[in-house]
Amino acid sequence: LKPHALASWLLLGASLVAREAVASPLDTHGFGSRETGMGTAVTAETTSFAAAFYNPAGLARATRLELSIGYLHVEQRFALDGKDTNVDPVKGVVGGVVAPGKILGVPFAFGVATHLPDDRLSRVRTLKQEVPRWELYDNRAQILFIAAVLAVRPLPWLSVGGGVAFLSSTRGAFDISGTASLKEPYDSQLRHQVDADLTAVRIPILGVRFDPTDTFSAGLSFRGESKLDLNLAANVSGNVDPGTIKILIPVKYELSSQSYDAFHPAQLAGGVALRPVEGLVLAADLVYTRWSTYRSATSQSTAHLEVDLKGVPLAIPPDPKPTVVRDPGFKDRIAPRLGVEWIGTRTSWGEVPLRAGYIFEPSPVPPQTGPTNFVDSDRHTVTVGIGLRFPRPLGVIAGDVSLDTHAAVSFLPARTTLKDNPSDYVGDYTREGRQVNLGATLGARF
Amino acid sequence: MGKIKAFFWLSLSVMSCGTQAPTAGGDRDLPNAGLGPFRVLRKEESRRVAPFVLDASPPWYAPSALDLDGDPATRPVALYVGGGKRIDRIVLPDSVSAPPERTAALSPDLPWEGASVGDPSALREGPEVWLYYAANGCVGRAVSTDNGVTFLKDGDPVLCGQGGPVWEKGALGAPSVIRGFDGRFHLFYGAAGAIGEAVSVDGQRFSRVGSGPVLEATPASGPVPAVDGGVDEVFDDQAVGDPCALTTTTALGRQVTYLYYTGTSRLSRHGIGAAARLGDEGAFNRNSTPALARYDAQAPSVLRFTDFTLLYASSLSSEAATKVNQVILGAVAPATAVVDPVP
Repeated sequence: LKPHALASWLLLGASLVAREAVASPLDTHGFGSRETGMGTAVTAETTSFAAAFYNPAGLARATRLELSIGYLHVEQRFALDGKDTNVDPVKGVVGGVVAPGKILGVPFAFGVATHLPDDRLSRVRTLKQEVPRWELYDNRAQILFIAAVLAVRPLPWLSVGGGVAFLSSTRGAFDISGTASLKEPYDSQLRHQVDADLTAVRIPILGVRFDPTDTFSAGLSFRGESKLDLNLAANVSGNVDPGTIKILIPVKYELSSQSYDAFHPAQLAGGVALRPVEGLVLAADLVYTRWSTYRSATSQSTAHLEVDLKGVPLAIPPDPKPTVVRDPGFKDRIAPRLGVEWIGTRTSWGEVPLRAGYIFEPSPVPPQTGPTNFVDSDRHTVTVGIGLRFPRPLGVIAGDVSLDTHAAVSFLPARTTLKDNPSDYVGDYTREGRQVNLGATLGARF
Repeated sequence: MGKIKAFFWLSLSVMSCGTQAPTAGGDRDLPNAGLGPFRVLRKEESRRVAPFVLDASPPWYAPSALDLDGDPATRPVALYVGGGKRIDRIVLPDSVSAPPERTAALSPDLPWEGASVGDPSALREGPEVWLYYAANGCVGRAVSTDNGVTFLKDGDPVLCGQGGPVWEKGALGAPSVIRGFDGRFHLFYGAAGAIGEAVSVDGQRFSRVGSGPVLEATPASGPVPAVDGGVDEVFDDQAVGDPCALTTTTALGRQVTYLYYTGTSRLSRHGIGAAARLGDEGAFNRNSTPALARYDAQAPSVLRFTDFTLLYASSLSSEAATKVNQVILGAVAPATAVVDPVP
């Protein structure tokens, strides 16, 4: 086995035992600086580790072992009624490996890609459906992403690829038992037991790419739907010591909660790339996102309290009633993406690619004129990027090294929300947003 | 291989830039109309036994709050409350803690009033304070020129149930009067488990609006639910009453008339409901979520301050004990608001 192929098999083995959660802030903010700088219109273009996310078939056109690592930082200002709601920034390390090789003369490549948030690996926040929240940009960002894909090129003009990404679902329970003293809380004797479980959820990633000529490519990719099922059960059983009377009151309390988090809709992306002259790439994508299957993350909770009062003159409140979760009614959307790359400077020491792009994402969220407040607006994103590519830098690395940087600014223009019912407790409000995305990716090819 | 090692260590040093996660965000300065739902006062917010602003005997009913200086940035409040046969006035310097001192504001002394007056509704009108009240199935008015300390009654009631539409069943009460966006005075009143409306240009002679109530109980559906039947019982499917109206303008400039009320369920529980309409006319849209559903609260009075809205309501003195007194409860909206104690 050649070293590249050995690395591929080792990485494949590692991926099969991976337990990390997977989902993606990446389709919101881009994955890889070259790809982000081109407006993420790369379904028919990229061959780097980012192909594991955009179109795994592109990996089959990689010719050398590639290691990449980078960083992404997105500052966000999402305002309601002109006041910043303090939505978390998105920060994290991105990276991946592409390991090409040949099997029976057929080119293939294996790739692993990851996005690792550096603030927190995951965040779960379930709110009442009436509470305003930037539904697409709040805690969907704090998710660990890992994908492992394989691509082959059976014909010179045809590449196909596929892989799996992973999510984890959380199931947990805690039990408390013993005697609680109301008069002297520190005298309470309670035992507790916590049990939490992470269970993997897999997402398929598939892609195909056509390269009939050196100047034209077309690609199609699909990512499956995913979501985290969050289940929590709590049981409290024991005795309450009122302290004022010599009697122990048996109490049993049961709570269960079910919700969803990190919904990632199914996506189908089609794209083309043109290379009319040496050093120039023009790319365009259309991305269909199936938001209509979105399910509200509102928690569905049930609780039950049993108390044997033994004649004590107390009134026990009734059980809270289960929440009726409304269908958020999201709509599918088609988002265009445009990108361009121009290598304007080529010298003996390297080259300097310049990039730009534009993305328009119509909001999938219907007007929030009712009780729910899933806040969103159409989103316009303008991207730019610049890279440096050094062949055999300083003569110490056999391959080449690249440093790509990107900057992107997204605007969610100001819009108003008028409630149908004037007695709505949240009431009318304005909404607007802005995101500034900066990042860099360092790559080495051997 | 050495080059791969160098790349690995470089990568690791980049990743080590991560720091401890800051507090998660996304919930700061969220929009809120400030009109509900209410949370009851906390211990640190009141000098009385929170959430009650008035818990001394005798039993108190149907409060009406008046911003004592007309400035929503300051906190002194005059609370008019029914208790026994008369209406008393109590000054709350911090808006949430009633001292023991109280003075009589109105007593029954006109022939049409019968034996008692109650259900006060205070309205600041220029330099005067007008106090509407219920007596003997009618609504009367008294006028104060000394900021609501002493009142001079009109001789006749401003509206009576007798001779009214059939749905009122001959009696009305629990008045709430506001000056509408149209400059007219709008009187909302309770009658026969529903709420009616009348208007006036001078605050003295009212004529009814339409031939029916402006707000009725939510139509009952299905059998009476069991207390713990696992269904979300409606809080106002038996009756509505005790209106408290106020006008407000939304963040986007829409003029809204708000109407708080007592909702009574078929389980004989009470809660404070909220309904609203755009402008001065038309039907009210209720909010299916009660503004407050604790302590069996009834007869709301709502006062808006700069940073929060206070709700006063008749309530039981305990949710857990079976022996309770009738007291006045305080609650605040939005729930995230902080009612700082006034020194």
